Amino acid sequence: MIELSVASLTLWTGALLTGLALVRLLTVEDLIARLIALNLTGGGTLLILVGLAARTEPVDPVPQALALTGIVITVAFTGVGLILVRAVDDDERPSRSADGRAHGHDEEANA
Amino acid sequence: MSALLPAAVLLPVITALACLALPRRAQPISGFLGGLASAAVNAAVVVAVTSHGVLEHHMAGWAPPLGIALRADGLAAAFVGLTGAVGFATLVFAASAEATTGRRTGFWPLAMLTWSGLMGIFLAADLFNAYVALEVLGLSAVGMVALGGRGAPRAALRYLIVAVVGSMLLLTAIGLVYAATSTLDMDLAGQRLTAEDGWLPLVLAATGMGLKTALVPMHAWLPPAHAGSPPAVSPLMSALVVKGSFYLILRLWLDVFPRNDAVALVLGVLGAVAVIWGGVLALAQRRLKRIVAYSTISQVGYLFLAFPLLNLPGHQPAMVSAVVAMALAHGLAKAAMFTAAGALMLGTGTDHVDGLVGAARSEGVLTAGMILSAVSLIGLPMSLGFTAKWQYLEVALQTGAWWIVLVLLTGTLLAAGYLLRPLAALIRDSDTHEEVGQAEIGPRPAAQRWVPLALGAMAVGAGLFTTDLTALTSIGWG
Repeated sequence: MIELSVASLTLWTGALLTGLALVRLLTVEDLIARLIALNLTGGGTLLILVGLAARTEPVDPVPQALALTGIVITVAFTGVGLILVRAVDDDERPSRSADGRAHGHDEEANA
Repeated sequence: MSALLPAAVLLPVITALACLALPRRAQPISGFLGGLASAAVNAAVVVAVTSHGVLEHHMAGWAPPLGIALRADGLAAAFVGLTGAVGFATLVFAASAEATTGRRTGFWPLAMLTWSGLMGIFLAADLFNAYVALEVLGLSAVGMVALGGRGAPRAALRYLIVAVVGSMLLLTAIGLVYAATSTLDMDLAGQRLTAEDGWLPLVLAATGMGLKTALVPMHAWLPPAHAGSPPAVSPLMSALVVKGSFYLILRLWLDVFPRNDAVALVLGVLGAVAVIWGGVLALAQRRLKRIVAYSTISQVGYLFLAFPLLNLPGHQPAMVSAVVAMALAHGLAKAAMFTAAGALMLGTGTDHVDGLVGAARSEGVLTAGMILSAVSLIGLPMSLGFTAKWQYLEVALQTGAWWIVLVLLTGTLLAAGYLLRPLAALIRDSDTHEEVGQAEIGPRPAAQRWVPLALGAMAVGAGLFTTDLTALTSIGWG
């Protein structure tokens, strides 16, 4: 059997989590679910960093500092993403109601 | 002297904060003044590097590996100069009318944060600073995309996802490089990284930056984000933001990662596909801003086409100079194109090519700017776009890389095709084939006429200074 240390367990969990989240990110339609998948991609990446840090004895503080900064950035982009999801909702709601004439050409350009 | 470097990063941040504190009506003034000062600092950086060589600044006196270092060599200085020129020109354009900056407030602080993020990337001497600056750039660019009209929030969200995935791939790569070398300093990491440890982070970083730079097949997010943005945002996105992630992969390629021919070939082939496919897609568009956006996908292809040639011993200095010339030519010409397209769109209410027929009659200066920009984008002789392609051709011919020669020629033909159609529409009197009348253009402020012309003139005129550009990019390495 391969001996599994905490460090490599963290590392591979992170890699697996990132991979799964990326697959979900590419396949899911719902915007909130995409944002959660994006958040998980970030979380998985940070786990990889923590796993890399734990491979030495004592634990290397530099990758941990990177992960800490990464957490801040993850919070920031998730917040921005949530605001954008709301903006998408506000933006697209009127077009589903009666008036579709004025802005029709903008939508078609996205096709 | 080296204090110029932190000033180049921090002055735009201070401007952004000042703009945030002011009401919308006062933001253009403070943003414009801050942009003027930042552009002056950028110009000073270029002059200082040209005359004194590499600049390096240790923040608060702490030397690496403990402290944070900023460094400007010739390669960085060239991009700093591009940011100063395009950034300032776009701010002048944005100050001309509130309509250029979108319906929501926020353009001025976000544009200055974008500027700061770019400076952080260009001047970073360590990997982690580069990553943080890339995030600053990405998040403020997402904010700018969201300022657009209908459809903009969805384009912005899509761009956010792309930007975050790209930087997460880079962060993983940086973690792996650190694990292999125990340093974040770019030069030290470059000395210690072996080919065995280097290939995985290289693949991750190249994928991430390819995604953020819209390298085919990861390009689908770009047209809605770039074409749907407000008139003053599109030029920044296309000319500068895309260059931030490209610069980073180029910098890592040259300074950190060991030579890897397989990755170089993949990047080169994807670049070749991008040149052709982007050009074909641009041909199929009927709206001016979409044509210009798809043209970016094609032009980004040229940048990645350089990687197989960058690997060849003896040709690296020539190719670095060529790829920098290509990036600058695209930046200046594309900013000219997008400001002109934005001005036409504000004047006529449409950017459909058929709606712009005869616009040259009242908008001669603006049309002249577009023509100069097209001259450089197509790569007609004397322009910077021409000298860049010429430098590519020279290396490709010397090394027998015939496929690259073929791509350069086909791309040139395609660019002529997709750019001549909108220009022809502007210049001809009225449409004789279709039932469309002459475009009615509301009078444009002077800035919206002259900014495209100035940028287009720079894109063409810089072709005369190729030897100076080559001398500049060779400072600090090789």
